[in-house]
Formats: sequence, C-alpha cells, structure tokens
Amino acid sequence: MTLWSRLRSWVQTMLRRSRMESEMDAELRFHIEAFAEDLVRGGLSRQEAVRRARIAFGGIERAKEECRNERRVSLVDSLIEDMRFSVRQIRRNSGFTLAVVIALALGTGANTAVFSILHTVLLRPLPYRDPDRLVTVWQENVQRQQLDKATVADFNDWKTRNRVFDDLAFSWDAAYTLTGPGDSQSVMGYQFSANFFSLLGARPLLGRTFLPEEGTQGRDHVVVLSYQFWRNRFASDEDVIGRTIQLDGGHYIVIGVMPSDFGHPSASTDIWTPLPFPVELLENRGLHVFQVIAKLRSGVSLAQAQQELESLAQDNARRHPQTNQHWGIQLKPIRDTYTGNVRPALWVLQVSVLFMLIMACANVGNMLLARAGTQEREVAIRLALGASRGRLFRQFLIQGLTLAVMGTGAGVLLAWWGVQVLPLMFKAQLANLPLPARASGWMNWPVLLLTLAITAMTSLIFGAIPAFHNPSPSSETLNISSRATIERKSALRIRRVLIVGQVALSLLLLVGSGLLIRTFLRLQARSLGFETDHLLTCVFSLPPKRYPNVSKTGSFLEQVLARIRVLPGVESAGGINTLPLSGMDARRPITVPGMPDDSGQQNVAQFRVVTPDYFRAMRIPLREGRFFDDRERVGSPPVAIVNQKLARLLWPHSNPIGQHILVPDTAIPLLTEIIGVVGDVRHAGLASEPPIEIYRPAYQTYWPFFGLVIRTSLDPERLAGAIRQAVQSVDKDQPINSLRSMDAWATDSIALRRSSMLLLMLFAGVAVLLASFGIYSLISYTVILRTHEIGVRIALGARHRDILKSVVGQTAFLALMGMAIGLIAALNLTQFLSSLLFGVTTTDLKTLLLAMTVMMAVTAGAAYMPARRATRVDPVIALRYE
Amino acid sequence: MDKPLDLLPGTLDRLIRTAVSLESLRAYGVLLRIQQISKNRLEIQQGPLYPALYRLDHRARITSEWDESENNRTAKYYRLTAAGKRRLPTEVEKWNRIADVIAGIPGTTPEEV
Repeated sequence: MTLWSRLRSWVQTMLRRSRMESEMDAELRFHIEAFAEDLVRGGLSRQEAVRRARIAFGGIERAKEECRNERRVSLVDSLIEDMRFSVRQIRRNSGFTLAVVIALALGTGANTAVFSILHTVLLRPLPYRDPDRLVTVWQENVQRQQLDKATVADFNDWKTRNRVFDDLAFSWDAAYTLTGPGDSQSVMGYQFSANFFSLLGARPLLGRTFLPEEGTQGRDHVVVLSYQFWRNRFASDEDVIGRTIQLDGGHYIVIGVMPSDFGHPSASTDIWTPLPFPVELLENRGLHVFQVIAKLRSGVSLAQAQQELESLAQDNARRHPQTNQHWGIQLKPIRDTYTGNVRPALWVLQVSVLFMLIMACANVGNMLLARAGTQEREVAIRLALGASRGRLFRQFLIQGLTLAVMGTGAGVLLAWWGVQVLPLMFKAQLANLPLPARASGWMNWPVLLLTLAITAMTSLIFGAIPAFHNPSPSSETLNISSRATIERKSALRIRRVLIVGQVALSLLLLVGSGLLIRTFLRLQARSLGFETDHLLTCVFSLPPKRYPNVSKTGSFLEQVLARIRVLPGVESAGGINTLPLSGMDARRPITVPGMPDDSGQQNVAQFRVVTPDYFRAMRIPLREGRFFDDRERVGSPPVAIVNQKLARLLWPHSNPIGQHILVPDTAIPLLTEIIGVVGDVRHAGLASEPPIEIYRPAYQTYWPFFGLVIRTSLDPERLAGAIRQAVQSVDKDQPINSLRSMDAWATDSIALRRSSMLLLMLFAGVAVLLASFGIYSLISYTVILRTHEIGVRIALGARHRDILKSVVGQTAFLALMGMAIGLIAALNLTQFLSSLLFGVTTTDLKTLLLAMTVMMAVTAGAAYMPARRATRVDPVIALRYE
Repeated sequence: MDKPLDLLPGTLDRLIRTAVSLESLRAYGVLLRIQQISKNRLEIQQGPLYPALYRLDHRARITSEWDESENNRTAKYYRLTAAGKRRLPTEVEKWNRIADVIAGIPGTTPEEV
C-alpha cells in the first residue's frame, strides 16, 4: 500500500512538475506573508516585518530543494543531468565516439544481416512434412564424377526393390505456353508423378493436389498453380478452382493453388501437371530424365539408404554393363538440392562476420578501457569531494548506455539494409529457393536482439569500469603530479590480450579474402571460348503441338533470324538449343563406327543444335573444315561439327574432317559426317572445363526449345524491344524469356565467388582497420603515460631509434604473437573455403605471405604514427609536468 | 526555561501529526499550533517544516488540499489521513515509552546500573 502510494505520488509529482513548483512557491510566499502580518500586528513596520520573516524562515531555496528531495524528484533530475553530461562527453570526444559507434554498428549489423540470410536459406524448416527424411536421388557417373537424373528403368528398379524408402516420386520439367484471353505467355511447368505432393506433405492454399488416378493417361489434364502465378495471372481470384485454362492448346482444369512458400523444384515454377508413368521408356537405361525425390522410412539413416541403393546400382551394373557400368547412386538431403554451393559460402561469411563482431566488441572494450584510464583521476577527485559511489556508477553506466544505444541503433539500420542487399548478391544461387519477398521476412529478430544485447553489454561493462576501479579516493591517485593518467596493470593486460586476438583474427580474414581474390583473378584470366560483350540472348520453347517437326521449327528460326538480322545495330544472330552459361544441358552418347571400343564405355557428348550463324555471332573460332551453311536442309546428308576436345579424343592422329560418327538424332543413331572443328567453350562457366561437344544443324535436327544469340554494335539491352517484336511478328502467340545480355549470364555464373570475395574483403578490411586502431590507441596511450620518462631520456641524450624501440617494442611483440596465432588458425580453417576456391590451394604460400605483409605494414603504420610523437617530446615541456 | 529547546530527531514528524490530528491546518498554522501545544518551549525552524510536511504527505500519513483561507485567499491545508489516524494511538504509546526512558536517563545514578 505505502509503496504503491509513494510510487503514485512520485509519478504525479513527475507528471505535474510545474504545478508542484508553483504550489510550493505559493505556499512558502503565503507562509512568509502570514508571519509578516503577525509581526506587523506586533507593532513592526511592514518592510521590517517582511525582512524579519525572511530571516526567520531561513534559506527558501534550500527548503524547496529538500521538499523536492522528499518527493524523489532529484533522482530523475540527476539522471537527466547524467545524460546531458554523456552527450557533452560524446561531443567533446567525437572521434572516439564515432569509432565506437562504427565498430558496434558493423559488428551487430553485418552479423545480423548475414545470419538472417543464413537462417532463411539453410536453417529455416522447409514447408514439408518430415523434411529431414526427404532426399533427392541421383545417378552418378563415377568416371566423370557428375550427378545426373535417373533413367526410367533404374527408377523402376529402385521403386520395386528398395527397403529403405516409404515412397519415391518422379518429375520432369515441361515448358508450356498458356494461351487464352490476353497475351500468350510462356509458363515454367513441372510434371509431377501423382504421389509427388503427398510425398512432400505439401498442402495447397486453395483446392487440392493430385489424386492417384490423375497419374494415368487421359485423366491427367489437371493443373496446380503456384502462388506467384495465381497472383500475377489470375489476380488472386479464389474462383479460379474448377476453371479451364489452355496449355499448349490442351484444356486443363485448375484444381489447386499452392502457398507462397512452396516452389519445387525452383521458386520460379509456375504450374504443376501430373506426369503419367512413361511406360514406353520402361526399359530405357540411356535417357536420364527423372528428377527423383524419396522419403526415407522412419529410422533409416541417409547412410543406410545410400548403402542399400549403392548395392542396387552395382547389381544393375553387372546385369546391364552396356548402360549401367560406372554408374553409382548419390542421395542428397532435400535442402542441399536447393541450396547447392551457396551453403559453404554462407557459413564462411557467417564465421567471418562473427569474428568481426568479436573484434568490434574487443575494440570497443579496448577504447573504453583506454578512456577509463584518463577518467580515473576525475573519479578520484569526485569521490574525495563526496560524490556517492552509486552516483558515479550510474553516470558511467549512462555513458556506456549512450554509446550502446547509438552503436546498436546504427547496427539495426545496417542490418536492415544488409538483409535487402545480401540476397541480391546471391540471387543467382538462391533462385531455386522460395524466399521471402520483403526484408522483414528475412530479418532474424532473435539474433538481432541477441547481437544487440552482446554489444550493449560490452559497452556497459567496459563503460562502467572506471567506477568499479576506484576502491577509494586514494591519496596516490590524487597526488599524481602528471596531468595524464595512471597505469592500471589489469586494464593494460586486458588491452594487450585484445590486441593479440585482433591481429590474429585480422590475419585469418586477410588470408581468407586473399585466397578468394586469387581465385577470382585466376578465373578472370581464363577465356570462356566465346565473347560475352555486345551479345543479347533470349530463350523460348516451341510447343510441340504447334511445332511438331524440324521443318516447322526450322522455318520459325529462319524467319525470326532473318528479321533480327536486318535490325539496325545487329551484326549477326544465331540460335542454339542449350545457351551457354544458362544452365541448359543436353547430352547424347556417340560412337565411331569401326573404332575398337576398348574402354567399353560410350562417349557422352554435349549435344548442340545450332543455326549456321551461331558460331559467328558467338565468335567461336573455326579450327578446321567449315561452318554450317545453306546446304544443310531437311533431307540433306546428315553432317556435324565437333569441338577440338572431341576431335582430339576421337582422332588424335588423323584428320577429323570427313570422318563419320554415330549419334542418336531422335532415338535411332544416325551416321553423321564431320565437316568442321570449332574451338572449345566453357559451357558451364569459367570454373568448368570445356565438355566434349557435337553440333548439329538446326535445319536438319528437331529441337523444341532454343536460345538466340544476337551480336550487336550497340548496347545489347537497347535492342530487347525490337527483338521481342521480331519474334512476335513471326508468331504472335510465341512468348520469349530471359531477354538479357550474355554479360549478365556471365556475371551470374561467377556471382557466388564474386560476392563471397567482396564480402570477405569488406570484413577483412574492417577487421584490419579495427586491429590497427587498437594498436594505434594502445601506443598513443603508452606514449602519453610515459611522456615524462621519455622527456628525461631525451634530455639525457637518447636517440630517436631507442625511443621508438622502447615505445613500440612490446606492441610489436604482441602483433607478432597475434600473427603467429592467426597463421596457425588460417592453416587450419581455410579448408572450409575450399569449395569456393579455384586454382589455389588453401595453403597457398603467396597468399599467406601477402596477407602477412599487409598485416605487418598496417600494424607498423598504426604503431609508427603515435610512436613518432614520442620522439618529438620536448624535454623542457615534458619535465615541466613535474 | 527561557531558552527554547532543540528538537530530538523524529520529534518534528510527531509534532506535525499531533497538530494536524485536531483540525486541518495551513503550514503556518501547523507552526503556530506546535508552539501553542508546546507552550512556546520548543523552537521550530520554519525552513525544515516544509520538507517534513512533504515527506509525510509523500508517505500518505497526512494529506493536503487547497481551500479558502480566512482572508479569502486559497491556501494549502494539511490533515491526517485515515491511515495516519489509525496509527496515532500506537504511535502515541510508543512515543510515551521513549519519553519515559529518556526522562529517566539524566537522573540515573551509578548505583542503579
């Protein structure tokens, strides 16, 4: 009761502060007047009465102040006073404050942003039932060490013979063209076996997913829409269920809409249709067409399942040596399938940024400790003058708190910015994941709060040290003759440990970013085999219903290219079935008739279908023979061009021109004459090796999707509109995709390494700055402490070199110790970078030496600046402190 | 008995509560009333009276309100709260015990100890 009423009285007082003041005034004035009147009545003059009354009352202001104290008003007053004081301190030491705030902001902001991305991409539970038991199943070519989709026959074996899966489902991609009211639109489709949705345990937002019987021929004309597609194309109309839409001319009934976080196999998938089991391929072990997903039986581990399927694969290799020799099986957790190689990059960045947070905290601690030294005397004097310890403690706490609030506030802003920028940097790698559209969806609030708490605690604890540190206003502290500071052994020891740690972490980050820079330079020095600049690309799929054969696709391509070629600014234009760097892929087994097949292994070559001008547009050089030209028409003798790598593999000692190879055109192998050899192309990007390739003419070979490459003399992006028009003037229902420059594809293909490199460079740079700042401030502090001593030494004739040595000596030792620790850490930790590296080993000597040189130079620079000040100490001034 | 007595610590609070327990009073009135009931033998410092009043008010022993004074000006009047009234008898008793003890001290002779 009393506590409550006191609190209430206090709150009322605080709220009605000015009223209390005026009431108090009135009351006291009334008192004095009443007293004076009594005195007047006793016979004094009015003036004299008032004077006496005042004297009798005593100090009016003191009485008021005591009244305020009784109401606990002073607590708040002094709090406000403390805050004002800390703001003044901040203004006075703006450099110091800026350093602390930047360190805190970088630590919290970067850490939160990176962890938010990591969590969203790697840790957040996938929207499936039992996601830990979901795996994707791949066939692995052991010789080429390459994962591939499954053949229908092998899938069937797994399905019937395994004892480790609850169920297996299959899918393949299918591009559709949606026609109907409005523009026709190219649609990214995926065909799922009827049990696919139920195996994932994915529930629809509206309607339903596939029924088992919809996986049979004739009942399969139903479609499930993705959330994005439903929103964009149907304006989120809930009545879409049951409506019929036209896909490639066929009628499909919309049965469901998936929620926004579902996007299998990639976030850009628009629709799903059922895929009846392709019975005609039941015996086929050559075409790798099935994306397979399986659910582990509960209690079965990934390793057990891997082992069981491995033995199935060995069994198949014995039974079908022609097709299955050298094919193993690889199981991957479903999340790995989505995130691929962005995983190690994100972890490396997370650890780096964590190091940076530690360094930021260390640095803030370091700076606050340094300042504590300069405030020690002030504290001692105030204690001696009667300040209460609680009051001092509160003041320092508020100083720390002010810094913490500023630093973490800036950190929150930085984190907010980071979660918007970072996903863009990894856009190409994250394309498969359904990801939050808004920054608020990325932001990981618990981690933000945790990091804020850590940094706030750091600044509070270190900020309050001066108050803890003064057990008593000792005469020693007050007596120091120097205006400078007192050396606190323990504080200095902490600062030295901090320096060692900072140097070690900086070196580690420097080595990491150095390795990535070297990787990047190595990659940049390579050639893709074609020229990416001034090249515009687009991709389209030709629906088999409207383009059922090679004469249709051929004439479409011919007309489109003819119209594009006459556009102003276009130099040449060609088409290819699998656009380099776009991730598109097609492979065919090839054999040379009459050649002894000693390995027993078929060569599988990348299968390209190109128009005659493709090579000229790409600037892929001709090595021998000729390019395709008008002679290659439907019905003319089948010919092919191979790349140098394939030519060297098949005919190492003879001229490839005029030789014949067998390559399946549709299903039956076709005897084809080699008419040319062209340069190799790094189809999958700079880090990949050129594959063996065989090119077939587009006017002889059927292919249902194509990419165009258009070499321009202008900025390629400016031609985009004209290209679209040219395509649509040939077929108005033909949508085109990926209208972008080849440079954009090239940038995407190295984005992961480039972004990792840039971020790691940034972190390393910040780390080095923080470390050098730490060293700088430690040495400045030592110099100030020892000004007097140095003055004496100089007066006695010490040389500059000796002074420098004595000031820098110990810090140099600390830096060397830090470098040694950092080097050991780097040798042990950089292996986690290895999946991002290319052409450099993790123990690359040059990188290590370079990183150490940089670290050495920076620390030496940071040490030298304050140390030089020591050599300039004027003995006369230094000794005057005495 | 001509020289007024100094106050023992805690006495002022006690006196104020006794003063306002009879009727509600202005601060100046409290001062006069204390002098009256102590028959002018106690000198009350005028300054410290106010912090004491504020303290008692803050602790809800007494309360205050603004009212018309005899010469038609508003003034602040203090009176005992219900809680203050309830505690009055026990406090009077406590006070008397202390007063007894204190009264006995100066006359104590070595033999009695």
